[in-house]
Amino acid sequence: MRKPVSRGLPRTARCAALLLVLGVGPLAGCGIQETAVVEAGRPAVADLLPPREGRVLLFFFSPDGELLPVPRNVDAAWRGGVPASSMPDDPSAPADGTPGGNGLGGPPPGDGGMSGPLSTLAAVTALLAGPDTSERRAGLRSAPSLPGASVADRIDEGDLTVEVVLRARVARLSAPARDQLVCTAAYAAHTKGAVSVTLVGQEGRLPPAECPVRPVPVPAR
Amino acid sequence: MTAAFGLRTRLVIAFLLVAAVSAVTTAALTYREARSALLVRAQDTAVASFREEVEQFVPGLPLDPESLRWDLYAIAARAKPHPWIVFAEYGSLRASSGDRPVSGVLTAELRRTALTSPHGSFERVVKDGKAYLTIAMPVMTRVVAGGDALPSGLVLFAVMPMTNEEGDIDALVTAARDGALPGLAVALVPALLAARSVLRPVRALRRAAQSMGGGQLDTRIPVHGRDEMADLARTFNDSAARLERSVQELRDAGVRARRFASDVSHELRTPLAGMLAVTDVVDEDAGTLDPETARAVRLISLETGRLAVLVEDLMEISRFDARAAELVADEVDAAEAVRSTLSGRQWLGRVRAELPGGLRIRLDPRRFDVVVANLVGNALRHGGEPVTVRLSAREGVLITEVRDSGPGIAAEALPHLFDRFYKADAARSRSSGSGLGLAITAENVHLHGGTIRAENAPGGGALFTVELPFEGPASWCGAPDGPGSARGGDRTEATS
Amino acid sequence: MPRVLLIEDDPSVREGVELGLRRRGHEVLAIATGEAGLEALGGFRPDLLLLDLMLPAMSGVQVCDRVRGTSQLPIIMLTARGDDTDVVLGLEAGADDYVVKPVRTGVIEARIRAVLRRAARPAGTGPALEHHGELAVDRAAHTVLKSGDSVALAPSELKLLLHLSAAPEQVFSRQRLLEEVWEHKYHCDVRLVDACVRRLRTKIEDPSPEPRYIQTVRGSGYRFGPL
Repeated sequence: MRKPVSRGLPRTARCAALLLVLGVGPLAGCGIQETAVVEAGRPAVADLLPPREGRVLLFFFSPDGELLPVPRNVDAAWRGGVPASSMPDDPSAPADGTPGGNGLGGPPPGDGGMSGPLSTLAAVTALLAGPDTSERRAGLRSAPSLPGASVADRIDEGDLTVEVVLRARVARLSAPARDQLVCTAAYAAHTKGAVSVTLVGQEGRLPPAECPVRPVPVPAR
Repeated sequence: MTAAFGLRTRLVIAFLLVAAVSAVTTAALTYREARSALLVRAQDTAVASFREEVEQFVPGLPLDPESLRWDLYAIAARAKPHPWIVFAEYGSLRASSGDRPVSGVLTAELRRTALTSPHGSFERVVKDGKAYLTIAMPVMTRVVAGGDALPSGLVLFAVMPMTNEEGDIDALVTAARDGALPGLAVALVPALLAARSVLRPVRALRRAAQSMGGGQLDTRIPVHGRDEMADLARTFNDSAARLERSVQELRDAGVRARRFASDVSHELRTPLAGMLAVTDVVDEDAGTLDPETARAVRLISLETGRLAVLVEDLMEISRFDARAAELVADEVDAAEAVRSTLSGRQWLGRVRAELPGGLRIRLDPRRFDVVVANLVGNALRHGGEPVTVRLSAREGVLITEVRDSGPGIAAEALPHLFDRFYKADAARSRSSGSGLGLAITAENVHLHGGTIRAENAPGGGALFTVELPFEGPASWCGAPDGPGSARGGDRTEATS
Repeated sequence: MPRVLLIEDDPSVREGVELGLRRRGHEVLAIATGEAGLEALGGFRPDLLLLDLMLPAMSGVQVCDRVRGTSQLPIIMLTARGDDTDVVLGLEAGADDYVVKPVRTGVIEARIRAVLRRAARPAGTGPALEHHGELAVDRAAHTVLKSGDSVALAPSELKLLLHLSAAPEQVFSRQRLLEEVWEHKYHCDVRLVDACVRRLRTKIEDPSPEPRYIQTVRGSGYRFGPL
C-alpha cells in the first residue's frame, strides 16, 4: 500500500502550478482592459434643421457615401423657390422668384402636409446646382451622373405623388443620382418625405420611387 | 518538500494554502465585480451625460465651423464624470475642443459604428499604457419638431482619459492585497490551533512509543472520541498489550532458562566439590599406578578441575543474569591491585607492567582481580609474549590496557569476543578455560559502570582496553561505605 | 599433626575432604550435622574446626556462634561462592577464615596452616608485655588484658591486634592486612577484615561512638591509636 516515492514530485508540481494560477490569475486581470465597440443607448437627437420655412433640404453624399440631408437657409421670402441668400454663387438661380404662398402661410411644421410645387422645384433646382462652397468644404458632393443646373422643368404634385420633369434623359441617371433627386423632391414636397416620386425625362418616365432616407422613431434607451 | 517539513509545518502550510486560495479567489472576484461596476458606472455616466450635453449644445446645420468650435467648448466644459475632449466630424469636416482637430485614440471601428448604427457607442482604448474611454455619439435630427429623426451625418466623439478609474482600480488591488495578507496572518492562528489539535494525539503517540521503546511496556494511550486518531490509539494499545504479553512470556522463559542453568550448576557443584577434594590424593598416588591407569587418573583429575572452573563460571554468569552480583567497593591503589594480581599468579616475570602510582580508585578488588587476571591470562594463553599491562588516567576514568604480541584477533571474531562460549579459534578450545572468561570479565566491567573493548593494536597483537570511572559505578548497592565503622557488633551493617 | 573437626553435611565433600586431609597427615573427625559436631567437640578436642556454612538443621553460623561462646578455637568455614551474605554472617559470628568450594585439599590445608600459625604462640621468647592505655598486650603469652581483665580473642582477632599494635599509628590498608594477617595471596573479600575489626572492637573498645584503639582511616584502612 506504500505509495511510490516518485509520486511526491508531480504533487509538488501540481502544488506549484496551483500557486502559479492563483498568483498570476488576478494579476493578469489587473488594470483596465480595452473593449470592442459597445453600443450604448440611443443616439443624440436634436433639431439641427432650421425651420422648414427658412430652408430647403437637399440630399448630398458624404465622403463616406452616405446620403445626407443638407439644409440650405433661405430668406423668409421665396424668390423662385430658391433662397437667394444661400445661393449667392449660383449663376442659375432664378432671379424672378416670387414668394410662395406656401412660404409663411404653409402648414405648421410637423403636420406632414404638402408644400407647394414651387418650393419643390426650387429645391430640385438647387440640388442640381450642386453643393455650395461651404458644403463642398465639408466634403459633400453629388452623384456624378446628376445633370447640371437648369434642367429642372416643372413639378407636378398630386396626392402623395410628385412628378419631377427634367430636361434630361432620366434613364442615364445612376441609382445614387436618382436617390438624390427623389429624396430632395420628396422632402420638399412632404415634411417627412412620405411621397412617391416619379422622375420624368425627355425620353420617358421612371417608375415611381420613394426616398430611402426615411425618418425613424428615435430609438429609446 | 514532504520530507523536509514536519507534520505541523505541512498542516499549517495546507491550512494557509486553503486560506490563501479562498482569500485570493474572493479578493479576485470582488475585485472583478468592483472594477466592472466602477467602469460601467463611469461609462454609463459618461455616455449619458455626453448625449445630454450634445443634445443641448449641438450646433445646427448647416455647420458654421467657428460656432461649431464654441459649441464643442461648451460641451467639453461640462464633462462628466471626468474631463473629456470633444471631437466633431461631419463629412470631411473635423473640429475639436482640443489642440488637434483629430484624435489619435478614436478607432476606425468606432467611426464606422457611429455612421452605420443609430446608437450611441463607446470603446475603451488603451494607448501608451493609458486607458481612454471613447464615446461616439451620432446626431440625428428631427425633421419636424418632436417627430421622427434622420441621421444628420454629424458625429460627436468624446475622449476621456480614465486616470481616475485607473487610480481607483489600483486602490482596489491594494485593498484586496492589504485585506488578503492580514487575512492570511489571521488564518495562521486557527492553522496553528488546528495543527496542535491534530498533533496532540500524535505527540502522545510518540511519547507512548518512546516510553515503550524505553521498556515501559505497560504504556497505554487514553482513547478519546471515535476519530481516526482514536482508532490509532486503540490499535496502539492493543499492539502494546500483545507486545507486553509476548515480552513477559519471553522474559519468563529467560528467567526459567537462567534458573535452570543456575540450578544445574548448583547440583553439579556438590559432587564436584567432593571430587576436587580428592584429586590431590589421586595425583600424588598416580606415580605408583601402572602407566595407563595413571594417565586415566590424571585425566580425571585435570578434567575435574576444569569442570569445577566451568561450573563456578556458570554460577557467576547466572548471578550476573539474575542481577544478583554484588559489588563490594573499596578504595584501592590501582597499581597495587594489579601488581598483587600478577604476583599472586606468579606472572610478574612474564608480564611487562607500566603501573604509575597514585591512581586511587573505588572498585571491587575481587572483581577487578578477575578482570585483570582474565585479560592477562587470556593474553598469555592466546596471544604472544611479551604481554604488557598499562594503567593510565583520563577524564575521570582509569584505563587499563592489556596488550599481547601475538597475531591479533581475526576481524570476524572481534564483535563476538565477549560472547559466552565464543571460541575465536577452534584449535584453542581445549587450551582455554571455561569459555566464559571474557564474558565474565565484561560483566564485571559493566558492573563497575565501565567499558571494555578489544581491538588489534597498530603495532600488531591484541589490545584490550578497560575503562572504569574513578568514582565507582553511579549506583552500586550493598557495599559498605568504608572499612568498618564504630558500631561494632552490628551484624546487619555489612549487608545493609 | 593438627586435629581437625570437619562438619559437612554432603557425604561426597565430607569424604573427599576427610580423605585428602588425612592423606596429608591430619587427624580428621568428619561429622554430618552441627549438633553432632558440637557434641563431638569436647571428646575430640580439635585444633581447628572446618565448618560447612550450609548445614541442614543448625546452620554453620549458629555452630560458629555456639563455639565462640565457649572457646577461641580456630574456625575455617567452607562456603560456596555466591553465599556472600552468609559468609559475612559467619565471619561476624567469629570465623577466622573461609574457603570457597569446590576446592583442592591443598588449598584447604594451606589455609589451615595459616590460621594455626596465627594461633600458635611464638616459642622461646620471654614475656613481652606492652601497655596501650587500658590494654595490656603480652606478645609472648598471646594474652590481652583490659583494665586487668583477660580478654578472649579468636586467633584472627589476636593476630590483627598484635599486627596493628606492633606499629602504632601506622595505617594498614585492608588489602595489606589480608595479605599479612590472613596470608591471602589473591584478592579476597575485604569484609573478612571488616568483620574481624568489628568483633575485636566489641571486645576491647569502650562503648563509645568513636573507637579508641582500632581506628578507621577513611579511604585508607585501619591503624592502632593514637591513644
